[in-house]
Amino acid sequence: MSDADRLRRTHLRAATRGLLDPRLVVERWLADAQSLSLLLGDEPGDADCQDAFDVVAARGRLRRADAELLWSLKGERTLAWLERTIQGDAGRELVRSALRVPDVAGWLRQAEQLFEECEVGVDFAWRAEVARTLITDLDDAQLVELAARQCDLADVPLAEQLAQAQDWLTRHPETFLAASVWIQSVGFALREDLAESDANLAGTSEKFAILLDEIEEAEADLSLENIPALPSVITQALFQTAGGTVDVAEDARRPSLPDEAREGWPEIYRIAAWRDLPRVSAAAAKATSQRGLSDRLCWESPDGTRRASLRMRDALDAGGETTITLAFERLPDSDELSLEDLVGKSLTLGGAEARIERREVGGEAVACAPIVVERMLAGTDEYLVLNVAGQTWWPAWS
Amino acid sequence: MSWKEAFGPQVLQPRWSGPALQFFSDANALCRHLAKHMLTHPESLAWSVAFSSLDYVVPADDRDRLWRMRQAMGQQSEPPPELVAIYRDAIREAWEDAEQMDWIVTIGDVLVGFGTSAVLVLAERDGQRWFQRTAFLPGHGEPAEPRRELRSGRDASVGPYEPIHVRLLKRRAQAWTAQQRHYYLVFRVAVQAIRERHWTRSEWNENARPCDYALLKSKLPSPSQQIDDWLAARQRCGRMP
Repeated sequence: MSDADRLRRTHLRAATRGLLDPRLVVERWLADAQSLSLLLGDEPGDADCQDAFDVVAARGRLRRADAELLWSLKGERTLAWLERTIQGDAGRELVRSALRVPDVAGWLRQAEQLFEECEVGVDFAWRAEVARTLITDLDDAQLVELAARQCDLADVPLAEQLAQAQDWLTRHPETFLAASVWIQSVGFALREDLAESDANLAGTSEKFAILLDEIEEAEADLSLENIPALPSVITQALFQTAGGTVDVAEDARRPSLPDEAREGWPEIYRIAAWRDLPRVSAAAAKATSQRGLSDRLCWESPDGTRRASLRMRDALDAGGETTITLAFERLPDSDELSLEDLVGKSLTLGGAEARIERREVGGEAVACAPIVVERMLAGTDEYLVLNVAGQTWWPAWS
Repeated sequence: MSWKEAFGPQVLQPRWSGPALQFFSDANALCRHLAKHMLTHPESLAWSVAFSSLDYVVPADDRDRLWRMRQAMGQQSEPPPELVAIYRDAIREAWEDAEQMDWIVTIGDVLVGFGTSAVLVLAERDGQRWFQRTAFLPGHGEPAEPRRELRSGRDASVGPYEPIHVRLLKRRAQAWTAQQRHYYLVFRVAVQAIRERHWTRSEWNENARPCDYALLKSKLPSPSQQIDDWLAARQRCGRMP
């Protein structure tokens, strides 16, 4: 992937749906810079530390901006003002003053807090706003530190702290996912030839590439792109190789599988892959289903005659829990077999227990079981194991 | 004089060919909106810049007095008539400007308009009539902005962080004309705020409303446009002295 492609992800959903507006991002940078020029005029001697920090950061940001966008927004005059302001002894004083602002320890505290809030599901819009603020502040501080280095005012402690902050961001990129659309827009607002034209400046954009990698991965996970569809024949063979019959007598409620057998299970069957599900409502589950994601989670009976699949589109919220349906069907080669013999049998799926019921759908009798999502995901096993009447069913793809 | 008398005619027959617009008919709703927007810092500051007559009614920069006004209004369910009159005029002007400038959008049962004063108005259709739902200054009503820990300073001598437009308001605004203040401190910030919104339905919460006024963004001028363009728009709408 080229450096430009690392920042411009044209295939992500926000880009394909036309949600990105890099022009707006540059407009915002310009408007802030213009406000600074109004604030300080040609006498930057009046600037306090906060003004100085903004001026130095704004200059770095606009230097890094896509030249065509900047030109189309008539931003050259503003950039020229910023360049003038940073020059000479007065400029050095401004940079020196700006260096007094960034409190990276405070940034880390706030980022940790946002990380924890993600776990407890704080309002999405608020998280997006905080994430955007945190990224902007870190970016500004890195631009100020770079400017300091370039005018022989290198601040080693600050550089080390910023490296720690960047390291934290690299290890916890998911913390910032709420600001995904804005991050993608920034990627498009940066100049394509940044790496060739100014390697140091390009270094400050690395965090956006890291965050974009995370967005791409999250999107691929949600759309199951990362997960190869294993034919059920292969998964079944893997089970058999590993001797994967479950000792139901030992623990019928929570069947465990040999480690070798688990390795053959597609990633989507991992409970961790669904860890966000308890926070979502039935409406969200239905929306997930409409995108065709979850209905592909299926299991086949050991004799290969039946299939069970989760139907998220039937999700219901009641009593603080979300219930979805596990529907049973005959596989094509077993038409003569009835589903009726499943009715009344008990099953476990993850940590959820249920009994198979007979329901009338469109005048036809079907076998299905209500599964409480929260209990399903509370299973102690790492994978979503379906056990029907003491038999483990194989993971399969519809 | 009651607030209803201050508000005047309750129905605005717009110049456009659409149905009539019913202003706030419920004192509680009106009180709620006045409290949330005109009487809450920092939006109160922006209102006082955009409508100088408000200075005689609202202590825009005094949070304690604003709080007491909100409390009193909440207890009496009766907004001060002078405040109501200014709010009504602001809404009326915004609808007229929106029509004149074509800064108006309809989506389903929602009607959104934006005036040259920077007031954004939103109405919803119920049957044959549009009902005023809210009117505010976008971009000015976020008192709960995220903290900026990184900007808090490596040493105690660094002053607290304030957004640039607030710094401008405090330090430079006195040297400006009323129009410059209105444009740089209120209008431009509002346009920027609208343009940064997205009209999309949440994939996680089907019941959450999309941000209706984001639809205006394609119609509004770029925030990088100059004050002269805004003055020309004001002139066209008959808002210049």
